[in-house]
Amino acid sequence: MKKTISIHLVGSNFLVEEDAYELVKNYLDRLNESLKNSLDKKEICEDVELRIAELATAYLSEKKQVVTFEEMSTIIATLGQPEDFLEDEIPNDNNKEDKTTEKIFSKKERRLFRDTENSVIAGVCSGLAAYFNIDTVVLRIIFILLGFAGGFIIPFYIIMWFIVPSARTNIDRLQMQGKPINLENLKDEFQEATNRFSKSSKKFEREISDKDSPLRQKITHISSIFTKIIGAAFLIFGSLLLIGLLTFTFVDWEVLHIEKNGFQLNFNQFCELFIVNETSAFYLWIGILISGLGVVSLLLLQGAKLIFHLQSKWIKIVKVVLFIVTFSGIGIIFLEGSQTGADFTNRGEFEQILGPDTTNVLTVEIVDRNMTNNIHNDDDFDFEGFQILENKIIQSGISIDYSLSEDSLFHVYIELSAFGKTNSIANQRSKNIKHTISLENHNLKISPNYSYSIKDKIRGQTVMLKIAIPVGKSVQFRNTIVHSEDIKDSGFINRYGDYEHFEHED
Amino acid sequence: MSLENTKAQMRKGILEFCILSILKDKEAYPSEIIEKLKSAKLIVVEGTLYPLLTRLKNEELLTYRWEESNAGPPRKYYALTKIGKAFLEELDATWDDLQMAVNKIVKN
Repeated sequence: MKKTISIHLVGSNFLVEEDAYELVKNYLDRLNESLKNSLDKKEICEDVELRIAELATAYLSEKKQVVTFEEMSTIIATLGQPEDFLEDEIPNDNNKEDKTTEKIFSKKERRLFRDTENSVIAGVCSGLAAYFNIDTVVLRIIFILLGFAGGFIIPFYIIMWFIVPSARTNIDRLQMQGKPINLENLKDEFQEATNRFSKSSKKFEREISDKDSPLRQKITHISSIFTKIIGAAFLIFGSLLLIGLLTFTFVDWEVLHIEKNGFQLNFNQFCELFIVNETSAFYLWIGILISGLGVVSLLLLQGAKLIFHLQSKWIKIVKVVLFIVTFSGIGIIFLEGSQTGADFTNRGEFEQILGPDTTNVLTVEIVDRNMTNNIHNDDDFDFEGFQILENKIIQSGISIDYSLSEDSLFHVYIELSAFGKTNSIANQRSKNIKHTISLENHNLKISPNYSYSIKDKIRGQTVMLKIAIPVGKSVQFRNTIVHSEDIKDSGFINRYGDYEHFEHED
Repeated sequence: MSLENTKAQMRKGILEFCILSILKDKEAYPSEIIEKLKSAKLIVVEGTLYPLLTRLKNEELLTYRWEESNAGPPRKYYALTKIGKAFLEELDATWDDLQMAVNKIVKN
């Protein structure tokens, strides 16, 4: 598809292709310019126009309404260059010979265009290189170095991009290269353009449709650069993810990393602590692997596609397959995850009674403050109130709940609780919690630590101490006294064995 | 001075004479003149003709009239004026002399 333009040549109208128009306009302009000192200018121009019209008519018929670029080139070749045929007729400046030879090299004759056909980004460098008659590669290297040295070159480039028009027609390209516009050069340029276009039919199509508007051309070009940047981001992100995935598969994968304690939890340990069983953990691993590989492949493929403009039905098919793989991987993760999730649905409780006490002030002694002693070997570890030993988990932190005693005695209960798939499993897990809280001689001995088997997994096991305080009596901690009026408050013995009191206003 | 240049100079010198000769018996429009000059290899590019025609017209050797064409744009039909005819006769005589002179030198 080419744009056609209607032109008027003494007494007749023609439809010509856009570049043919450029060609004839340039020709007539130059004729005018050459004749500017001549009194016969008007007449000669008119004669030439008439002849162009006459020759053009010969090319047209009922079926063929438009004069092509090649035809116009032939017409102009038949007429000859104004510089040549006016040489003797029109007395000109003394240095006319110099002028013709100078033409090829003169910078004045050149016009600055962006060479979009040899462009990396927008053809600013290649255009400038043509204008100053230097090697494009050299100029690009200079630009890149300047880009590193200081940022000014980038806004400069962008400004040039918007100010300098792109060389859209063959005439433009000749002017850009400073070649005189004559038939030989035009033919060469046309031939070159044909070669360039036929290199890839895709590119050809783009070039042609680009001619609609320079603004659109710019916008599509910007968007194509963004596309490339996004493509590169995809590739980088995909590669990083791939490295992560390989680490996960072949090396220990850290689920949790706590700098403070040097604590690391790898995937196997994570599964041992949380996932219902080994089979489920295995499928979970498979699921992560499959979806991970799927996502990585998709990212890499998409990145490559965006950068290299790959277009093939196979890419689409592969993408669909990869999407299916990724989603089945995610499906497996959800399926196995929900099995573990189901183990958190029911809460079970188990209550122990430590017995009543008759004292006026119940003293609380916190023992076993230092729990780090339990760490024995490298496989054992400790994080935020959890210690994972070879076959048991020690958790720290006990809540204390106060209430008003219905009689004159202290009543002390321990409520153990945990989650499970069913009530009975949850109750069993609660029962399995081992604590060291005892009441002897008005003295409540509390360790902040409690433990359970690693087979029970971490299922929200908690220990709550319930103390019913009789009216007028109190509980004495090392640094805090809780009176019977304070029953709305609560307390907590943290992992370091310190008592924390929470006052509740209402 | 190159060969091409010399050839061009020689052609140019006799071009006016040839144009006037073509118009000697009947009027013609530029395309016809071009055809004849081209077939005689006197011109390479057509553009050469137009400034010449204009100059000859300005010197009142030629005159022209417009005529509509049924195919294409209107045509300018050129014809010799009285002055032109006289001028041509002069040139004819000169050409005969020149031809003889040149032949005499070149062939012997």
